[in-house]
Amino acid sequence: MKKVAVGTFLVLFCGGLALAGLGQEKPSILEIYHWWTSGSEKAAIEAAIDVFLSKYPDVTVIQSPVAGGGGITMRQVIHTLMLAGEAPDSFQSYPFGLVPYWQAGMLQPIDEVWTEEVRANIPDVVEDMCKMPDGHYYAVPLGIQQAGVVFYNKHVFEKYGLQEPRTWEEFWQICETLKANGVDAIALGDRNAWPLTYIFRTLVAAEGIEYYEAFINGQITAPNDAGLLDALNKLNRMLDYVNSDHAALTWDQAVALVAKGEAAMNIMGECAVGELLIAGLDYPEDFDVFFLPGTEDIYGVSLDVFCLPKGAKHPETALKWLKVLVTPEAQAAFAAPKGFIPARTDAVLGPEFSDYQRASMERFKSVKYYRPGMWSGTPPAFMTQLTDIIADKIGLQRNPAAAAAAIAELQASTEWPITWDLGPKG
Amino acid sequence: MRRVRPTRILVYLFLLAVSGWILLPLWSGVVTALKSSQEVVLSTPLTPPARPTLEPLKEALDYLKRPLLNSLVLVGAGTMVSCFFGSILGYLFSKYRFRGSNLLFLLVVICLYIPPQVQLIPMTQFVSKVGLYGKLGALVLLYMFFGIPMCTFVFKTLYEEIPESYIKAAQVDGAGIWTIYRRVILPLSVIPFVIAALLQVTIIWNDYLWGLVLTRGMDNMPVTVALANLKGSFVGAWNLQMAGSIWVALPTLVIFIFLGKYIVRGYAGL
Amino acid sequence: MAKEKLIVGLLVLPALVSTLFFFYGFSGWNLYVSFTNWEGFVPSYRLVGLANYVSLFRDPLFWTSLKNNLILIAIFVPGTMLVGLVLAILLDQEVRGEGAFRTIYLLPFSLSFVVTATLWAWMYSPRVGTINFLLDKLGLGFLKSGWITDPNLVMYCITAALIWQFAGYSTVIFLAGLRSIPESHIKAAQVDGASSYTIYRRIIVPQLKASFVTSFIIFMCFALKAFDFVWVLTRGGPGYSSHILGVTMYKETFGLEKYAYGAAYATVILIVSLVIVVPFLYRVYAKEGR
Repeated sequence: MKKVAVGTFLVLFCGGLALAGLGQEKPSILEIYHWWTSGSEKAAIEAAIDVFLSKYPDVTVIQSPVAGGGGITMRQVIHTLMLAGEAPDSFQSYPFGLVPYWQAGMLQPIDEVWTEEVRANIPDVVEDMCKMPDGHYYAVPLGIQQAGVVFYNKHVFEKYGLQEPRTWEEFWQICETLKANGVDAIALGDRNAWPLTYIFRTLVAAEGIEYYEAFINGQITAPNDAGLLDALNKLNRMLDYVNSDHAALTWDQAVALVAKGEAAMNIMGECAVGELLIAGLDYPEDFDVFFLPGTEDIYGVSLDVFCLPKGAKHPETALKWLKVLVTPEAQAAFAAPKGFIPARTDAVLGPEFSDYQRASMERFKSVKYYRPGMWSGTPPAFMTQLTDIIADKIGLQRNPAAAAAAIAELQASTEWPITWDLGPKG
Repeated sequence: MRRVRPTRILVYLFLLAVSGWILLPLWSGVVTALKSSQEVVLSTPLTPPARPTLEPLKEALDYLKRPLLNSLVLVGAGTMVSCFFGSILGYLFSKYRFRGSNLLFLLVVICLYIPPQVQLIPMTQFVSKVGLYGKLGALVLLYMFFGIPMCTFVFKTLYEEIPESYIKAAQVDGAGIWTIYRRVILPLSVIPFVIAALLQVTIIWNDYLWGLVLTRGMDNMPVTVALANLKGSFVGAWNLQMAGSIWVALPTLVIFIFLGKYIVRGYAGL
Repeated sequence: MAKEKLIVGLLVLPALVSTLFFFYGFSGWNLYVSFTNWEGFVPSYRLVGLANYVSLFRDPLFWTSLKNNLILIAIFVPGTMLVGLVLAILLDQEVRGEGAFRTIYLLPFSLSFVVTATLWAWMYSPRVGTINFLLDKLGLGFLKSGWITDPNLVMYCITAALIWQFAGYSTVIFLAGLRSIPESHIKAAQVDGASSYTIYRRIIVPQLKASFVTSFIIFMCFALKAFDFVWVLTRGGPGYSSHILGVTMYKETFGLEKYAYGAAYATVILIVSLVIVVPFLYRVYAKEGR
């Protein structure tokens, strides 16, 4: 027994060291971190990498996918790595998530990537989200998805003779009709807390673009602010029409309710489209979209970006990566599988793009105002606490006044490094 | 043969009922692993697949091939080494009292309760300075060292059951510390080893945090990180993750079955 | 003799010292950070004394988390030990297929927390979950509940699921303990005509001391590290009702970027564990006059 044990131990120990020794540095490496780990999102990032490799075939791309979206997990990893001096060559982030690194002087400006040609073909709002307050560029966009869309099951609407609402009275009327017929009007899956706050964020936008601008600039500091209370009251009211087990479902299970016709509407970003398509629904025959009254001429921009940290081991390769990402080919290649739209307006929407994506692109080009999604446009610490406040004070306690007080206080006590200007085509 | 006599039927019924309780949650997992992506969306976790498919299992295995290998190496090296040191340290603590041994042992046990987040940043900095960052070797070393307190505790507690007389007899024969260990303690170490190994295997196999932060690249990923990735960030790929977890559970299950054989009467050797 | 001492010393000392360094060195760093005002990404090492601890004790979320943690510990640790003991005693009755039962019971232990938490979320789902479904089928529909959507029940649901996860391992610990009791002790008592209940109470259970100590220490450890499981199952929700200390600490440190505050949390977690574990160990070992 002992001999076996010692023998095995030696073998495994050496094996461990050998494996540890493997992975010696090869020339031309690119190390990136992202959170597109599975399914269509994985197909998307692989497509972008393929475009990169077609231009630079001798580079080895080492991906480190980190599941969990732009939330805590990735931040935890990147913070630790930056503090330990092991920053990757590039990593994915929400635009505002880069602000702490910029403030600490840990990002490299990449103005050279943003050439005249690039700037001419990327909308201003996206450009602004890639800049820091010092006016330099620090990030490149990869895939825009629309935020704050109301997806609905066409067949359910038809069954009860419902039309897309144009006013709030019409919206509540729809909810009442559905409830009277025993159907959940709105599908919600907030086991992970953020989907409820997601609706709130859209409601803030419904208060108008100036209000939204004031909100993401941290100016809503009065607990009895009319717009704030209005948004919170609407959110609270929506909870009367939501599936009863919402606190046990994840966001995709909620979208599934709409797909199955067990609920009518779902307020989500365009990741919902992926789930609906997987379920076999077609746009616009089986599902369609509308926008909450007040947001019809606003496009919510949810942006993912890549950046260049200082201390990256292969900065030249990283710059090549970033330059490739802003080309129309890479943008189109990435956007197609995932249901995003390309950040470049001159990108060609080939046949792989779904009808929905084309519609979204049209809207993107024709709308009057753009708003950064809140995770893209406000400090992560603010968003974390906002999510907690909504989950507790509205989700659990159903108390809009308490929520308003807490949010106003949060607005006042947060630091706001960036001031947004969302004027027309801003 | 035990002379205790509860009604045999009752015993079996109870054990079967408990088995049912244990297996019940796994039903959803197995059922989901056999569903196509479309069915995952259109059905609930409870219902069996109308059209079962092995695709998720195949796809998950493909993604998990290298991580499974990585984790096996981690588990093997980590368990063996920490059990080895834990056994010797446990032996010393249990059979030799020296000044401060109680305090020292207490310090070792307290290590178990230090939250890993405490160590996250300094450990990463340390690993980076030593030049091991990003490679599997960093994890191997980490699991070896981090497993020592747990293993020391388990071995020490179980070695205490060994009567002092055995040690005294060997000392009378002129045996030194190491000889006593080899001749007296080691042969009696099977059960403590099983208990400690089961624990170490689970802890290492299940560790997410260190594998996430200290390795880089998909070649170095341990299996838990890969499993989390299978679920996806903004997709609901539950079938892939459940299929993946079946693959991930298999090696540990095999190890458990193998180790479990030693928990039989007579191996305590007393 | 001296040579042997040297061998052992050389073998053991580096391992011991490095281990203690990795734990206490880093804890020392953490303790230091908890006395600073490090907030936000850029490290700041300006000392502010006990300010972080003061805010911690004033924070209602801390007390909620502490309460939840204590509920978890109070039910999970003894619960798992009891389940393990009972199952071990039963399995020890020369049961046919013992190996099969043991393997089945160990199944949850072989699964990652991430997976089991998801499985239990599906079990506890009020509308489409297994538990409510079965209750209906068995005619026990009145027992249905919101489970993890109910803030009053959620901690108990989590604890029950954790007991499920560790029951098999607990069984193994006690089974090993039972199997190491010499036959002679039992036989002697049986010859004396003791009833089986007395045999268990007077002879067997006291000799399971090693199993009790091992399982207590280990399950205390897992109770305090149950972060992954709770995070995936409920994210600390609904609201704050299933926040445990580990969850709150994680959010403070990486969600809100308050590193010094998070470090204070970590120190408090350690102290809470010590308050429970040290007296326990003392009682166990002091009785023997060690």
